[in-house]
Amino acid sequence: MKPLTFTEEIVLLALDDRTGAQLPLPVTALAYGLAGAVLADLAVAGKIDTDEKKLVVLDATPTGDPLLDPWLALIAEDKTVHPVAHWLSVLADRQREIEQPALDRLIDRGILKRQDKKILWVIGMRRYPTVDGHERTEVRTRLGQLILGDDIPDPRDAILISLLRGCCRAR
Amino acid sequence: MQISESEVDGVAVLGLSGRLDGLAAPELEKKLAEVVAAGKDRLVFDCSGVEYASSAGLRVFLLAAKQLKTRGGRCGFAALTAPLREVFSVSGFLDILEVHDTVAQATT
Repeated sequence: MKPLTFTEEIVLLALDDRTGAQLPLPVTALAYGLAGAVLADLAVAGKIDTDEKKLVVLDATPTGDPLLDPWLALIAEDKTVHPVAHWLSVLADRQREIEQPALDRLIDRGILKRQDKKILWVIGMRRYPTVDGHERTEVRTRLGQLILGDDIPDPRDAILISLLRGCCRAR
Repeated sequence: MQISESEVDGVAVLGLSGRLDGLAAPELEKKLAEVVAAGKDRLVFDCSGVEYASSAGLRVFLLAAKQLKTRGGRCGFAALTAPLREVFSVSGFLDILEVHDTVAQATT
């Protein structure tokens, strides 16, 4: 199985393992976490590069990943160079469009299942409980060892810790 | 970016000069892979000529430190320029990487 993208990992870690409900997070935390995850995925794919002042497109050709390509195209279309904060804000406003395809892929991968319920027989509620908790357990164990130990993280783990810290999930 | 390679007392030294950005990072990553493949367990980056480092460059530095430590070796970063020290500080690298004032200190 292809490794999870940062976008999928953030979506997965934001859900309660058992109930599939979204964990309580500060308002906009997940939106910005997902925005950061998309940018991190594009950076690791060699499509964009960032520094403290700007985000630049290195290669506008699609990655082939439908979770990422709409956002790469959006960034590449804008001929003005903006700082990372600008794109975090733009992508955070598109949270639903980032989150739902990631949830769908996690279902396709067999990691989550979709569960529709009714509250008081009227109000529809959709949740995503875990089918296979292996991925989530593995990432939590790995990050826990890094945070509590003195080992040097590899770049992927360092990015994930930063993203989780950014959306208050590094607990 | 210019990358020079030398050896001081058995320690591999990569001298970096110019901009370490998303275009230069793959070249540095390739050089790192060569050093690792050659079985070197000590590596020092001479950063005295680094004018700029983006997130792509920082990822290669972190990868180098991780790879060397995993094989029981060491990776040092020497003579950081002011712009590089600034991004090391902001990113928290000063806390987790081995940073030295000079190449001589880093290779001892």
